[in-house]
Amino acid sequence: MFLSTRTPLRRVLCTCSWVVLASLGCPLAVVGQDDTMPDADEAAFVADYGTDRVMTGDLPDTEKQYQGVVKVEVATLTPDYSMPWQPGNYSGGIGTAFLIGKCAFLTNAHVVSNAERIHISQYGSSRKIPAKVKYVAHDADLALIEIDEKDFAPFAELPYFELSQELPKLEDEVRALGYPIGGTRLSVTRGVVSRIDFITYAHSKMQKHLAIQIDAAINPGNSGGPVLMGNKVIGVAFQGIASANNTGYVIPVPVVNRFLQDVRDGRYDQYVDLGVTLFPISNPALRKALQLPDDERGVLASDIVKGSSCDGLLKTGDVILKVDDYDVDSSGMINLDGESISMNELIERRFAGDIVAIDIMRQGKPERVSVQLKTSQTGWALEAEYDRKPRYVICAGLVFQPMQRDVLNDNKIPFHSVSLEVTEFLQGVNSPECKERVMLTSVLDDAVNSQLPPQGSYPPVVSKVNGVRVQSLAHLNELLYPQQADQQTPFIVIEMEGDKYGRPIVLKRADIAAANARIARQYNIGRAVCLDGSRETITPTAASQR
Amino acid sequence: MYTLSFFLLAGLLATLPLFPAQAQSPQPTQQEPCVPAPVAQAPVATPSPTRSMVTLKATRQSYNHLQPWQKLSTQYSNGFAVYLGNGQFLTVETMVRDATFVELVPSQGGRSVSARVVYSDPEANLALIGLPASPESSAFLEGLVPLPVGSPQALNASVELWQYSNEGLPLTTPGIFRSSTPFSSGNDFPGFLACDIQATLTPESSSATIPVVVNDKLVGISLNYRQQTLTAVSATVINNFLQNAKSGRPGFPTLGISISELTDPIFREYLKLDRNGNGIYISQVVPRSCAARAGLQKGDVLEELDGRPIDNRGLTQDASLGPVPAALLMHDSHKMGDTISVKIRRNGEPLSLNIQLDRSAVDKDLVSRDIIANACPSYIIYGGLVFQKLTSSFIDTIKGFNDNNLPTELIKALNNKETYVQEGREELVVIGIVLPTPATLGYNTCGFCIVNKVNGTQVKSLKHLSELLDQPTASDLIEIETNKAPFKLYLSRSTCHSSNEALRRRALPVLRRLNSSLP
Repeated sequence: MFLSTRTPLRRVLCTCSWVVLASLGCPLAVVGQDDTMPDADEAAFVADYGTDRVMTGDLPDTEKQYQGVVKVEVATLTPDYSMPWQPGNYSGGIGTAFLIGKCAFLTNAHVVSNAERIHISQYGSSRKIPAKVKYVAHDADLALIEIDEKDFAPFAELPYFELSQELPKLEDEVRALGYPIGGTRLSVTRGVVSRIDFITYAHSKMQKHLAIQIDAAINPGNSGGPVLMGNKVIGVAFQGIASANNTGYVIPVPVVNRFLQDVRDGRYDQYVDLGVTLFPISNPALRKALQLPDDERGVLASDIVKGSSCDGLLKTGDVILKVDDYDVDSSGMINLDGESISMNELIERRFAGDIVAIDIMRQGKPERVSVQLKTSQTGWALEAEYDRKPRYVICAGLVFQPMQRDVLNDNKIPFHSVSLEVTEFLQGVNSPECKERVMLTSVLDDAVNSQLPPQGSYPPVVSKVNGVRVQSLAHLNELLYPQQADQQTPFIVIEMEGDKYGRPIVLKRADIAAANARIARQYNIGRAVCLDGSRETITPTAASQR
Repeated sequence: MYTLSFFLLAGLLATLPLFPAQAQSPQPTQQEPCVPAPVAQAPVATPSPTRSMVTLKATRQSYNHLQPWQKLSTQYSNGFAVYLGNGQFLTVETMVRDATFVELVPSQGGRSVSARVVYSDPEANLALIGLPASPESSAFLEGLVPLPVGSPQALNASVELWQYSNEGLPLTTPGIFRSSTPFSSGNDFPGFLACDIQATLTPESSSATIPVVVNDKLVGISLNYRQQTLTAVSATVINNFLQNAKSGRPGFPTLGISISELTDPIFREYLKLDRNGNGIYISQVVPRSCAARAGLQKGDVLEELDGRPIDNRGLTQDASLGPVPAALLMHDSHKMGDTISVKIRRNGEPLSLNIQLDRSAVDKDLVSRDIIANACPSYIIYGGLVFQKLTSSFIDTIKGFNDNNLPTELIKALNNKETYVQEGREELVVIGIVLPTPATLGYNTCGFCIVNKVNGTQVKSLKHLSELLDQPTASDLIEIETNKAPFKLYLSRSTCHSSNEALRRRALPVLRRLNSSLP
């Protein structure tokens, strides 16, 4: 079955494990590293090889290329969602970035996510230059970092890396530059383009985009480094695959271009999607029932996510024949520049607000639908969260958090206990007022809650408080701590979703204030409520001026 | 202690013939003939481990609920069966569930006989075994001494556990009845009260199906033995089980409520109860159960059940058993049709109700608990789609394969049973696995969902589906509506027929099995 750009959790768990390549100090066997540095004669040889089609202009000046690829050292602070009131754990890693503009370097989002302090250093120099994140796209694993103008001198004479505007072809030869494990200096590895495919980007855990697979060694630390054909960048190295050999992945230029274009207005707007689950029409009986001729055209719209771009415009049972005048085949593939790609890849390249024309067959009649693209409202729940403080509400020792991937993972809540609520939320089944589902993730033991049923005996997702459906964490906070006197009922009754077999959780309002104070002391909780998850923009300059 | 007195008694009985009935005074002139001493009756054989128990061996093979035309691998059971008289033996049901072959072997060894399950109750975990009428069976039964069923024991009663070794040596182990323990034979089954008996068993033979005996009467039969504690089905349950077998009743009654403790003083205050009082919270009342029909509602506080007051943990004080869960006590000791009284509190106000007991909570469940002796699961294979009934076994099998996860479509269905009942459905029909055939091309991800309609008609049962599939239609197409996107599947009737033929030729001789009686 074809999917929209978001992959249901079950399917992601079934695929191989992806290895995200910022080095976190865990040694890995280095596979096939080639560390001979080509001199000027050999550079000519590379050019004469005949596969370097995109090369124009001067021969690659490898020395200048090396100068433009920097090592990125990041100190991170990663929150623990099982104790969301605590700051988290310090760690760090190494990655690579490369010069693409004045004071601007391109790297991966996973290199700089949750960063407290970032420094870059140039090839052959020990000077650590402070940097900060200007734009980051966690759904595309890309980030633009910048340094102060006063620190730009060492780079001032260097050409910026140019992005090739053509996708490479299979067997084209490429080189990856970076600072992977196995040493501290710049490394160069060489290989060929093995495959160009649509894969899951491990950083977001859910998003699938175009990626180039190469067989040059890509190891932890290579992340964010340029992959070059001649003197042009054909992509950014970003992940590998633990269970295979000689397999590295590169973010191709179309994805990079989309990111750079998106941030031109000063803000990253995220990917848009149609919100349609596609069902391939392979069965002849299905074809006949849909009154389609016996060609291989048309894919079935099997389910529409509520609140998505196509909600209200497409219906289950519609057959999608064309997207933006590109013919769609029975598996949802279109032919773009001679390549067969998924129709979702076409939508991938668009931006919020763009209009897309979709030609469909509905009950045997042709129709044309105009869809304005927007980002899905619910997909975030299963994506990993970065650069945010965990949001939570603690009341009488009960810890409430939003139903979201990191919260589920860190609290070790088994997926089967929330699978229905997650699936329904992603499908938009909950009313439009429901921004997120809220879970009771843990109970901080205290006299005020010791008589409650033991954890694990009730389902974790909150349904209602005092009879009112909970629409978000902020809404839960209002219901638990109402401002108006007439809403301050003597008891607070919390009902859990799917709670057919148990009893509601009842708290006495009069006991709560004292209990909260006691619990805050005992459990070292700075504040009981955190509704705003934003962190300030990373400004390492204060920390690094020593 | 008991064995000594038994032998003493036997010894006394044995000496009786030595005492003539009456000494006649001899006549002076007559020479009286020697009156033969009246022959005392042969000693009545008393029950013993070797005379009242036999070895039961069963070969079991369950059906594979995801491929219901075939069975899983064979398993073997080995334990005891207790002779109750009239050619019937009692054993534990799990020993003979899905049994393909049952045989009984005498305690002293020798010729075994084939046996069969006459009546079983998987909730009570008991089964009655009988022998086919034959000379071998009669020969087998000769010499067996029935062990009659006794009365339920009180706490701290001294009991005996009977076994015999592989060589036929009787083993009697003393034990003490320490406490009652709730026991259930399956996730969804209503539980009953079992007896925990402290004893140290010899590890010689099987520790399942060991009879618990007091004064040569059966007062329990063991389910398992762990850490010096034997858990046994009580005499109460055994007696009721035997009565159910005789009268052909379908099983034990069940109220159909879920309860929650009321130890939380804040929750009690909220329910307008006194902070430290009694009563248990009813968190669920199964629709159409006998509790629902009597008027019990979610949120009621159950204070007295069958004349017994219930404390805030659901326990009641029983004269002989001590503190036990009240609901289980009632479950074990009543039969279908009995009326019991309950006292509840609703919104703080007291209320009395009468409940006529039955099993509707379980038997009228849309998703049935389908443990029937050796029943083949029903199924229809059409074109490669495998249609089945949604039952507990089907659900348990999927959970077993899928790390306790159920597909969303099935979870949704289980949460919406009432809606389906209102629609008039007798059971839920599912598509299970999808066999790869030309007819099912492209449908491999379309399994594990509820079938709603076929050609526009709502499917009320698997049998109904069979009829709908056979109904002639104007076109070659069959439309199957499910609760899983894309929600409508289409099959070509002609392609299905040829796919069916191919399946029949190569793999599956039977494509439709609708009755669940013995194969």
